[in-house]
Amino acid sequence: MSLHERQQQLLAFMMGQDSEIAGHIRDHGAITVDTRLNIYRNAYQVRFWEVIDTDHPILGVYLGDDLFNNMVRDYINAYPSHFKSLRHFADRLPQFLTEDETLKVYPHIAELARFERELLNAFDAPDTECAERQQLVDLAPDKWPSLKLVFHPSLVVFTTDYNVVDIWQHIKAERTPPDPLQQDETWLLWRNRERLTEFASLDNFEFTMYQAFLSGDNLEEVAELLLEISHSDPSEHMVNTLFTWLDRGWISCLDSGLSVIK
Amino acid sequence: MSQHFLGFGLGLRTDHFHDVLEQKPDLDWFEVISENFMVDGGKPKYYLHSIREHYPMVMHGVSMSLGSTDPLDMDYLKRLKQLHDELQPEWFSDHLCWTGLEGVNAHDLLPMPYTEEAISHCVERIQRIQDYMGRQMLIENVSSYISYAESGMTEWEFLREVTDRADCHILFDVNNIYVSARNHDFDPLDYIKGTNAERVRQFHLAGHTDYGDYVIDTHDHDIPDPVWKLYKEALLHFGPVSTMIERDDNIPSLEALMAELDIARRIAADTLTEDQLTPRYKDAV
Repeated sequence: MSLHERQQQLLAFMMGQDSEIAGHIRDHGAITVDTRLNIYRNAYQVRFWEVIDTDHPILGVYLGDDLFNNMVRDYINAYPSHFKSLRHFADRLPQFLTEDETLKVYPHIAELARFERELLNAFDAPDTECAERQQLVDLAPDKWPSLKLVFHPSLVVFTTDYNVVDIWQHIKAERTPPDPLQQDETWLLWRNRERLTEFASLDNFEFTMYQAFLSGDNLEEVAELLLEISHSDPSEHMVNTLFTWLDRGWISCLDSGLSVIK
Repeated sequence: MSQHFLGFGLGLRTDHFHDVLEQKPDLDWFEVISENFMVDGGKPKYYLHSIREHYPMVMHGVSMSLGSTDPLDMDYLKRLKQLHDELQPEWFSDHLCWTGLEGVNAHDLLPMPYTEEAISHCVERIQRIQDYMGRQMLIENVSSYISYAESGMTEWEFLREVTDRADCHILFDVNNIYVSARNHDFDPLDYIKGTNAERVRQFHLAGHTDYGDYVIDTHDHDIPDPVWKLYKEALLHFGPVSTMIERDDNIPSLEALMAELDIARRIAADTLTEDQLTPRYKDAV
């Protein structure tokens, strides 16, 4: 029997699959072979349960113990870890919730899980400096039209068809969550200057402005686009929005065209 | 006199990030779990680098899976080396075990059979890891609940063969030896006596959960008396070895862990000379 086969047998047992491992374990002392092996099998289940419970505290409350425990058991079986770090073990939980026979009929549950994972993504996204509002104040007027933005890497856009952020907020505040509603929402998640994760809803003006800057448009091009959708001079609204973004730490640097403003 | 003795340290845990930076506790070094910091940025890495400015560190991994029959994960080793280059630790370590197979990671420290095949397998992989990292590593004995029927030697004979042939060092987990001795009915002093003292660079101390018939390595309790007694025996046999406390669950305050670390200091002071216990930072592995 090779080392590889022995490892296959033990892992299969831990994962609840058929295995010949018991016949290759020494039977000695007061502990039975069954007890010995089940220490590993139980640890396998508990470890992953704890990861999902830690990553998805609001989902856990929303589902209640029975549904949550069943979900975890089935997820562990459907998507065993292929990651070195447990940080990513539940990355596929939102996908699983769209496939699970019991839970896929409530599509907002997958969206709630996806929102919690995006919060985690913002939490440990790469670090970079944040631009300051004074840099925009100091920008020479002739540089404004060509201004481009580089956003902080922690920014995540979360678009959803359900009111799951409202549900999340209610549970977080230990209040009764609202009924699920199907409605289009756009949120932006980020890690603030104190390295805490925050989120804010975006209206159409702000989302359009964000997407345009994100795609590489300069301020003049973004203003033209916003003029089309708002049918009025967007300048003041744009400038106020830019200062809000700078204060929130969304912008890592201002690019005036010829040089990056530090 | 050991040229590698860092003194007395703790495992750096999220719960204590803020207190460590605020209080700058009187300890000699920290051990960090490598995988916890293989992220791009955010609060954990901020604290890691801030604390590193004040303390020596060693890196301890849990996912190298050096005993697995899967190919070595070079992407993992690349990220490990990146973190190593960032932190400049005194040394890095992982476990003499396997953690997964065929791409599946069980995230558990699974024991090896103590066979010639397993020795050759582990030695070859440790040598490749050391070549890649450009330095020697420490490997840790794991606690275990099973032993394989085909094992033809004791765990300490296996550890000695692997470390001698691979020319690596040992992270000697005192609690793991106590746990395994209880679960497998061997004398932990035999383990200590059978280990090559020249290769031991670090001690782990921890608590466990005692179920009567068996013991589980949970790291969620204070260090119990039998582990302290074994620690003293280890000091007598190995001399001054960098010592730290691992606490992974039911984590107490930093002050409580510092008080527990003082017990280790007192035991060491009662067992070794003052000169032996002077930390040496500069000549580590």
